[in-house]
Amino acid sequence: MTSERLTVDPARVPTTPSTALGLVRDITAGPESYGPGYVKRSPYESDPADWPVLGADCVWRQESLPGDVLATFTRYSRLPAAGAQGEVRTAATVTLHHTAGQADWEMAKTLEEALRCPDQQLRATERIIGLNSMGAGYGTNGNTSADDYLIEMGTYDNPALGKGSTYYIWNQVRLGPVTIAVVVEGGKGFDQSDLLTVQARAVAGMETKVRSELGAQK
Amino acid sequence: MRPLTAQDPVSVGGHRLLARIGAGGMGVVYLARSKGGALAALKVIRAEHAADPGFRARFRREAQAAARVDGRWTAPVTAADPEAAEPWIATAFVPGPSLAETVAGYGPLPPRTVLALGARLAEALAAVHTAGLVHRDIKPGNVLLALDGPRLIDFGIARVGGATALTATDVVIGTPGYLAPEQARARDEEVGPPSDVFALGCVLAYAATGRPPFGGGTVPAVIFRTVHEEPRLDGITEDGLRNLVARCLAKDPAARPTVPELRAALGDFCTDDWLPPTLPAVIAERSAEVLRLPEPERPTTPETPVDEPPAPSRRRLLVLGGTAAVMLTVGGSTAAWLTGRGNSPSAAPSRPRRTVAVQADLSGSGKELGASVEHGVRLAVEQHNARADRPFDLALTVLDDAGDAGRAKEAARRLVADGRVCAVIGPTSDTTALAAADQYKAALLPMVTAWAGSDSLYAAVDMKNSTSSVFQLRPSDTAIDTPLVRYLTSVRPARRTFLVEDQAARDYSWLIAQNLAANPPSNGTIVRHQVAATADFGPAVTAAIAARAQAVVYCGSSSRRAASCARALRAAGFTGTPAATEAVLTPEFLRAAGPAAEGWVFSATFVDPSRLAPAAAFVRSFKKRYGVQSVGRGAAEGYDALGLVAHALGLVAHALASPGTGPVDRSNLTHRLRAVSYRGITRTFAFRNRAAEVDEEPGLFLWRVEHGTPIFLGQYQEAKV
Repeated sequence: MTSERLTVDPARVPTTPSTALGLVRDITAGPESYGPGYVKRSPYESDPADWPVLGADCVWRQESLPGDVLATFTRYSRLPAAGAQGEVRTAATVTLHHTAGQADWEMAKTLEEALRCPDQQLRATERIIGLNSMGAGYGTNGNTSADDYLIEMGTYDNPALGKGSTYYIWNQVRLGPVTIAVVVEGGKGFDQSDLLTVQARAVAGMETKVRSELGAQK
Repeated sequence: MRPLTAQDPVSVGGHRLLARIGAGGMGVVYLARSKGGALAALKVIRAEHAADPGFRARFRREAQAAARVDGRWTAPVTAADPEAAEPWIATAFVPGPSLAETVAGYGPLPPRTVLALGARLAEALAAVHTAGLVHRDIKPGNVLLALDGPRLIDFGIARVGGATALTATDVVIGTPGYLAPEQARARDEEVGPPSDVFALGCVLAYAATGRPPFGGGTVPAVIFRTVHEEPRLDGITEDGLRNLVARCLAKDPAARPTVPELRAALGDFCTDDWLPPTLPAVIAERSAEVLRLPEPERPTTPETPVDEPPAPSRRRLLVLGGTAAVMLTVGGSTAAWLTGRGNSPSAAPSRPRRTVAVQADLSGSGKELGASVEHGVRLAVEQHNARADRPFDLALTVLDDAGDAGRAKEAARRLVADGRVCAVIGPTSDTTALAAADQYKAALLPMVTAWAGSDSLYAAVDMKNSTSSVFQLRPSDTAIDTPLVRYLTSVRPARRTFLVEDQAARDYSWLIAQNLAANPPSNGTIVRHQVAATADFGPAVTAAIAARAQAVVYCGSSSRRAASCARALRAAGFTGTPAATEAVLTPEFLRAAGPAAEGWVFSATFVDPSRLAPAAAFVRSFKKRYGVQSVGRGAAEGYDALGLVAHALGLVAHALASPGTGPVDRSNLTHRLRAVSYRGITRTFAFRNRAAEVDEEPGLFLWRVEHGTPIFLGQYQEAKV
């Protein structure tokens, strides 16, 4: 919603792992950020020491935090199935790097991952198929707020969410040294646009917090 | 209209042929020039039909009868040869636009003009019937408009079994909605003068409302309604005219007025000044241009037009084509061919025509809003076309989606397929806008709506269409809380705000409450209270009073339930500020809440133009044009939407001022619209950083109920109370 490009005040950016973790915890969206009816998943919060890495075999594994990351934090939420509409699973991740350049590299790697592995194994029974990715720097393709923007869409197979394929939508933005990502999975019976709206809301809410926490004050 | 082919004769009966107007199973209709230089519509019957002795006898009889028709308001037969190997008949060519095109382009005619039109067409019918003919095909396409009055064309010539012989597969089937029930049932023995009276009633209803009285849709559906259902005449505002049309549309032919009765009932009119102010210039200009038609060179080579053909040739398609079916099937290239493309140095500059569509709910639960939007757009189109310095003419096409998602998709499909449509104003609800948006986006056809608030319309980035042609002229629901925060912070500060989240509108309530909770008025406290979808508001109000709330915001979207909340607050003696959003600001809320509506504050994205100085001229014109006391919600925004689109079209035209630089395509217009800043009567419109997201602040307003009436307080940052 905000049209001005963020100018980060370097003095407000945490420099120690503990203050950095405090910041990303404050920003990371919980169930109240998506819409009515969303609740916490179990487990609800990630281990701040973990970092997911996509291997050469296109399988995701948890590894320890890389050196360029000051702090990262994820919260897991869900909208329970109701009537003809299947469960929607969401996860919001906020990561603070030491520098904006490092955050930029994280965005670039994410974009490349979809090219390298259009089919990805998340966990033993969860699979993403036919992933497409699109990036949009500030001022392009309708990105009028973040320094960088990317979206990936594919189909998602998870027996826990019912038979057949469902949606997989990954949306990630960068504001200075911070990256914000929201993934939406499942949602059988929903229009894709409804899920995109939910996702955009959560991203926008976190963007607003980043701006108020790190923005240069006028 | 098509160029002549190698098979076409150079001349027929001393007439030099200029173009093919239409062709059907029975023969061909040509535009021709007589030896004396007059233009004629000349029909030639194919030899194989002429070989049928019964047919030739009938043609001969009818041609003789038609030659006897002596009416001021008919196009006279100028020559005929029923005995030729291929019999032909020529009628005077009338260079005015058809009623069909006039109403489609400039809107329904005022009641006075419809009465005058009806009186003259009744006189034309009297002349036709006196000659022993039944017209059988009275429809808007067969009524041409001249400065002194209408001309009825195509009367009773060479029809067999109720169909026009020349284009039997096109005419009757192609224009359902103007057939009497006895014709629609194909009971030819019952077809007589009363059938023409029925059709005239349909034509007058169309002229007065812009819609045929038995609706549109598939041929069987229209015929079913014609035979079994009552006509829809509620759009005719003048009682006398409506009653008269209703009598013409009686199912029983004997119950209809006779032509002399009808003529008497319509009253007397002078020939001057029968048209509304904008039309005489249009008719005169186009008539003059078509009379400068160049002679075609033969053989012709097909060429591709670089722009939409100028209006005169487009109009010719309608007039000469005689049927909508013919008009729709001929391409733009033939029209460009017909204009001769400036090889006549004396030709006046002709304006291109741009077609804008309105997609609105005109028959469903939102029909009041839809009709207001259509009226606002139409007025803006008329005013545009009346300006002498306009670089192009605007034509308007209107589709009713009835507020239904399925019909909205169908409407979008049709408008996307209609290559003439440059932009669509509407749809007029969230449901229909969301249903139609994908198709408009895929076609890059600008969809401009000020009546759908869902943030799904632009929040989502679509991988396939990262360039969006969806323009939401109003701030989305995500921003709608902002005026309330300002009111409860600066106008009447509330330190404790109580949010009533109505589970009957779960998502909407959540959105409003979430945003208010993120920006608490007066930096104070927020209490959120859920009310079940069917529960009453007593407990919520009790909780609000207990919390010593200084403001209560009903966050839902139901007028009825908001009224119930209002009554509960009043009963409990609440003295703070009650508030809600525009979803609730409806006549139903005021009715149901009664005195409890007093003092309610609303945020809204629409204005009351009568309280906006820049809209004063619009309000005057609107009241005069439609004969109403007030301007309905949506009309001012519709007027501005058209203004915005026309402004962008002007910029596109300007950029293409040097000839041959390429077509005006939809994506071109989409990109223009993104970059444009337009000062309308309701606000200034601009899109952020070339995205399809409108600047919000100028489009957010406050209203408050005072003495039972919602009063528009103005733009929310400037609202003085």
